[in-house]
Amino acid sequence: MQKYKKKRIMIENNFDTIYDNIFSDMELHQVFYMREKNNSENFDAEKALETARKSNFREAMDEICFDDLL
Amino acid sequence: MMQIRTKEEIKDRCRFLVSLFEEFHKEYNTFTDIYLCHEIIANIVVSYFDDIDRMKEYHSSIKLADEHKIAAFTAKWIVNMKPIQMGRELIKPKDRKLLSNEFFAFYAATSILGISNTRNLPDSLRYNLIYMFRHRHFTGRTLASICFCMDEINQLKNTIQSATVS
Repeated sequence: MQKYKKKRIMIENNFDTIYDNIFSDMELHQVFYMREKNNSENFDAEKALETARKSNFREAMDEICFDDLL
Repeated sequence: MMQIRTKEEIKDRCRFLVSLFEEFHKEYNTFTDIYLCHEIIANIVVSYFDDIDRMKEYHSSIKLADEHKIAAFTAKWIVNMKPIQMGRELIKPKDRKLLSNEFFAFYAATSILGISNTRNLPDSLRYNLIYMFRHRHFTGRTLASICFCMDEINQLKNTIQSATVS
Protein backbone atom coordinates (compact mmCIF):
# COMPACT_ATOMS: atom_id res chain seq x y z
CA MET A 1 0.00 0.00 0.00
CA GLN A 2 2.79 2.33 1.00
CA LYS A 3 4.62 1.47 -2.19
CA TYR A 4 1.49 2.15 -4.23
CA LYS A 5 0.96 5.50 -2.50
CA LYS A 6 4.50 6.53 -3.31
CA LYS A 7 4.03 5.49 -6.92
CA ARG A 8 0.74 7.39 -7.11
CA ILE A 9 2.30 10.58 -5.76
CA MET A 10 5.10 10.20 -8.29
CA ILE A 11 2.53 9.77 -11.09
CA GLU A 12 0.42 12.74 -10.02
CA ASN A 13 3.51 14.92 -10.26
CA ASN A 14 4.74 13.49 -13.56
CA PHE A 15 1.59 12.57 -15.46
CA ASP A 16 2.61 14.36 -18.65
CA THR A 17 6.17 13.01 -18.62
CA ILE A 18 4.97 9.42 -18.11
CA TYR A 19 2.31 9.52 -20.81
CA ASP A 20 4.49 11.46 -23.28
CA ASN A 21 7.07 8.69 -22.88
CA ILE A 22 4.49 5.96 -23.42
CA PHE A 23 3.11 7.59 -26.55
CA SER A 24 6.51 8.44 -28.01
CA ASP A 25 7.23 4.69 -28.17
CA MET A 26 3.83 3.69 -29.38
CA GLU A 27 3.29 3.50 -33.08
CA LEU A 28 0.21 5.51 -33.90
CA HIS A 29 -0.93 3.99 -37.16
CA GLN A 30 -3.29 4.97 -39.93
CA VAL A 31 -6.43 5.07 -37.81
CA PHE A 32 -4.80 7.93 -35.97
CA TYR A 33 -5.22 10.23 -38.97
CA MET A 34 -8.83 9.28 -39.37
CA ARG A 35 -9.32 10.27 -35.77
CA GLU A 36 -8.40 13.87 -36.49
CA LYS A 37 -11.48 14.54 -38.53
CA ASN A 38 -13.75 12.06 -36.88
CA ASN A 39 -13.16 11.94 -33.22
CA SER A 40 -15.33 14.30 -31.34
CA GLU A 41 -17.61 12.80 -28.74
CA ASN A 42 -20.15 14.02 -26.27
CA PHE A 43 -18.03 12.97 -23.33
CA ASP A 44 -17.92 14.87 -20.07
CA ALA A 45 -15.16 13.40 -17.88
CA GLU A 46 -15.94 15.71 -14.97
CA LYS A 47 -19.59 14.65 -14.92
CA ALA A 48 -18.59 10.97 -14.97
CA LEU A 49 -16.16 11.51 -12.09
CA GLU A 50 -18.82 13.37 -10.14
CA THR A 51 -21.19 10.42 -10.63
CA ALA A 52 -18.42 8.07 -9.44
CA ARG A 53 -17.91 10.18 -6.29
CA LYS A 54 -21.63 10.12 -5.45
CA SER A 55 -22.04 6.45 -6.36
CA ASN A 56 -23.12 3.75 -3.92
CA PHE A 57 -21.34 1.19 -6.08
CA ARG A 58 -19.64 -0.71 -3.29
CA GLU A 59 -22.73 -1.12 -1.10
CA ALA A 60 -24.69 -2.31 -4.13
CA MET A 61 -22.03 -4.83 -5.10
CA ASP A 62 -21.51 -6.03 -1.52
CA GLU A 63 -25.14 -7.22 -1.49
CA ILE A 64 -24.33 -9.82 -4.12
CA CYS A 65 -22.50 -13.11 -3.68
CA PHE A 66 -19.84 -13.66 -6.33
CA ASP A 67 -18.22 -16.71 -4.72
CA ASP A 68 -19.11 -19.03 -7.58
CA LEU A 69 -17.26 -16.79 -10.02
CA LEU A 70 -14.04 -17.31 -8.10
CA MET B 1 -0.16 20.52 -34.89
CA MET B 2 -3.29 18.42 -35.30
CA GLN B 3 -1.44 15.35 -34.03
CA ILE B 4 -0.49 17.12 -30.80
CA ARG B 5 -4.10 18.10 -30.20
CA THR B 6 -5.21 14.50 -30.77
CA LYS B 7 -2.54 13.17 -28.47
CA GLU B 8 -3.84 15.56 -25.85
CA GLU B 9 -7.30 14.13 -26.39
CA ILE B 10 -5.96 10.61 -25.82
CA LYS B 11 -4.02 11.75 -22.77
CA ASP B 12 -7.15 13.41 -21.37
CA ARG B 13 -8.95 10.08 -21.55
CA CYS B 14 -5.98 8.39 -19.83
CA ARG B 15 -6.15 11.05 -17.13
CA PHE B 16 -9.87 10.36 -16.72
CA LEU B 17 -9.27 6.61 -16.23
CA VAL B 18 -6.48 7.26 -13.74
CA SER B 19 -8.76 9.61 -11.74
CA LEU B 20 -11.58 7.08 -11.95
CA PHE B 21 -9.29 4.37 -10.60
CA GLU B 22 -8.40 6.66 -7.67
CA GLU B 23 -12.10 7.02 -6.86
CA PHE B 24 -12.55 3.25 -7.23
CA HIS B 25 -9.64 2.58 -4.91
CA LYS B 26 -11.02 5.01 -2.32
CA GLU B 27 -14.27 3.05 -2.43
CA TYR B 28 -12.49 -0.31 -2.29
CA ASN B 29 -9.82 0.68 0.21
CA THR B 30 -9.79 -2.91 1.49
CA PHE B 31 -8.26 -3.99 -1.84
CA THR B 32 -4.71 -3.54 -0.70
CA ASP B 33 -1.62 -4.15 -2.81
CA ILE B 34 -3.24 -3.29 -6.15
CA TYR B 35 -1.99 -0.71 -8.62
CA LEU B 36 -2.83 0.65 -12.04
CA CYS B 37 -0.50 -0.17 -14.94
CA HIS B 38 -0.19 3.05 -16.99
CA GLU B 39 1.14 1.34 -20.10
CA ILE B 40 -2.03 -0.79 -20.18
CA ILE B 41 -4.20 2.31 -19.63
CA ALA B 42 -2.55 3.93 -22.68
CA ASN B 43 -3.26 0.78 -24.71
CA ILE B 44 -6.88 0.72 -23.54
CA VAL B 45 -7.47 4.30 -24.66
CA VAL B 46 -5.82 3.83 -28.07
CA SER B 47 -7.77 0.57 -28.68
CA TYR B 48 -10.97 2.27 -27.55
CA PHE B 49 -10.52 5.11 -30.05
CA ASP B 50 -9.64 2.63 -32.82
CA ASP B 51 -12.90 0.75 -32.17
CA ILE B 52 -15.02 3.90 -32.10
CA ASP B 53 -13.36 5.30 -35.25
CA ARG B 54 -13.80 2.07 -37.20
CA MET B 55 -17.46 2.05 -36.27
CA LYS B 56 -17.93 5.69 -37.29
CA GLU B 57 -16.16 5.03 -40.58
CA TYR B 58 -18.34 1.99 -41.32
CA HIS B 59 -21.65 3.55 -40.21
CA SER B 60 -21.46 6.97 -41.78
CA SER B 61 -24.66 7.94 -39.93
CA ILE B 62 -22.80 7.83 -36.59
CA LYS B 63 -21.30 11.28 -36.14
CA LEU B 64 -20.73 11.27 -32.41
CA ALA B 65 -20.41 8.28 -30.11
CA ASP B 66 -23.22 8.35 -27.55
CA GLU B 67 -22.64 7.60 -23.87
CA HIS B 68 -23.75 3.96 -24.26
CA LYS B 69 -20.99 3.31 -26.75
CA ILE B 70 -18.43 5.28 -24.73
CA ALA B 71 -19.33 3.26 -21.60
CA ALA B 72 -19.43 -0.06 -23.44
CA PHE B 73 -16.18 0.22 -25.36
CA THR B 74 -14.34 1.58 -22.32
CA ALA B 75 -15.58 -1.33 -20.18
CA LYS B 76 -14.81 -3.83 -22.92
CA TRP B 77 -11.15 -2.83 -23.12
CA ILE B 78 -10.79 -2.68 -19.32
CA VAL B 79 -12.08 -6.26 -19.12
CA ASN B 80 -9.87 -7.41 -22.01
CA MET B 81 -6.66 -5.74 -20.94
CA LYS B 82 -6.98 -5.80 -17.14
CA PRO B 83 -5.16 -2.59 -16.13
CA ILE B 84 -5.42 -3.30 -12.38
CA GLN B 85 -2.47 -5.40 -11.33
CA MET B 86 -1.70 -7.07 -8.03
CA GLY B 87 1.40 -7.15 -5.91
CA ARG B 88 2.80 -10.19 -4.18
CA GLU B 89 0.55 -10.13 -1.15
CA LEU B 90 -1.04 -13.55 -0.57
CA ILE B 91 -4.80 -13.61 -0.94
CA LYS B 92 -7.58 -16.11 -0.31
CA PRO B 93 -8.98 -17.93 -3.36
CA LYS B 94 -12.43 -16.35 -2.82
CA ASP B 95 -11.12 -12.82 -2.34
CA ARG B 96 -13.17 -10.28 -4.31
CA LYS B 97 -9.96 -8.49 -5.16
CA LEU B 98 -9.57 -11.09 -7.90
CA LEU B 99 -12.56 -9.46 -9.60
CA SER B 100 -11.17 -5.94 -9.33
CA ASN B 101 -10.84 -5.46 -13.12
CA GLU B 102 -14.40 -6.65 -13.72
CA PHE B 103 -15.67 -4.39 -10.90
CA PHE B 104 -13.67 -1.47 -12.27
CA ALA B 105 -15.14 -2.00 -15.76
CA PHE B 106 -18.67 -1.98 -14.31
CA TYR B 107 -17.81 1.07 -12.17
CA ALA B 108 -16.53 2.90 -15.29
CA ALA B 109 -19.66 2.01 -17.26
CA THR B 110 -22.08 3.18 -14.54
CA SER B 111 -20.09 6.40 -14.00
CA ILE B 112 -20.10 7.26 -17.71
CA LEU B 113 -23.82 6.45 -17.93
CA GLY B 114 -24.51 8.74 -14.95
CA ILE B 115 -25.89 5.94 -12.75
CA SER B 116 -25.00 7.04 -9.23
CA ASN B 117 -27.50 4.72 -7.53
CA THR B 118 -26.21 1.30 -8.58
CA ARG B 119 -29.06 -0.31 -6.62
CA ASN B 120 -31.37 0.90 -9.41
CA LEU B 121 -29.97 -1.98 -11.43
CA PRO B 122 -31.49 -5.34 -10.40
CA ASP B 123 -29.28 -7.76 -8.41
CA SER B 124 -29.49 -10.34 -11.19
CA LEU B 125 -28.23 -7.81 -13.74
CA ARG B 126 -25.32 -6.80 -11.50
CA TYR B 127 -24.37 -10.44 -11.01
CA ASN B 128 -24.79 -11.43 -14.65
CA LEU B 129 -22.78 -8.53 -15.95
CA ILE B 130 -19.83 -9.45 -13.74
CA TYR B 131 -20.31 -13.08 -14.84
CA MET B 132 -20.24 -11.99 -18.49
CA PHE B 133 -17.09 -9.91 -17.92
CA ARG B 134 -15.46 -12.88 -16.22
CA HIS B 135 -16.43 -15.81 -18.42
CA ARG B 136 -18.00 -14.75 -21.71
CA HIS B 137 -16.73 -13.36 -24.95
CA PHE B 138 -18.68 -10.28 -25.97
CA THR B 139 -18.40 -7.40 -28.40
CA GLY B 140 -18.50 -3.70 -27.65
CA ARG B 141 -21.74 -3.42 -29.60
CA THR B 142 -23.58 -6.04 -27.54
CA LEU B 143 -22.35 -4.33 -24.40
CA ALA B 144 -23.56 -0.98 -25.81
CA SER B 145 -27.06 -2.48 -26.09
CA ILE B 146 -26.83 -3.68 -22.48
CA CYS B 147 -25.67 -0.18 -21.44
CA PHE B 148 -28.69 1.28 -23.23
CA CYS B 149 -30.97 -1.05 -21.22
CA MET B 150 -29.15 -0.16 -17.97
CA ASP B 151 -29.69 3.52 -18.69
CA GLU B 152 -33.39 2.97 -19.41
CA ILE B 153 -33.86 0.92 -16.22
CA ASN B 154 -32.09 3.61 -14.18
CA GLN B 155 -34.26 6.40 -15.62
CA LEU B 156 -37.41 4.36 -15.07
CA LYS B 157 -36.49 3.61 -11.45
CA ASN B 158 -35.67 7.29 -10.84
CA THR B 159 -39.03 8.34 -12.31
CA ILE B 160 -40.91 5.81 -10.14
CA GLN B 161 -38.98 6.88 -7.02
CA SER B 162 -39.66 10.59 -7.57
CA ALA B 163 -43.36 9.87 -8.29
CA THR B 164 -43.60 7.83 -5.06
CA VAL B 165 -42.02 10.63 -3.02
CA SER B 166 -44.32 13.32 -4.44
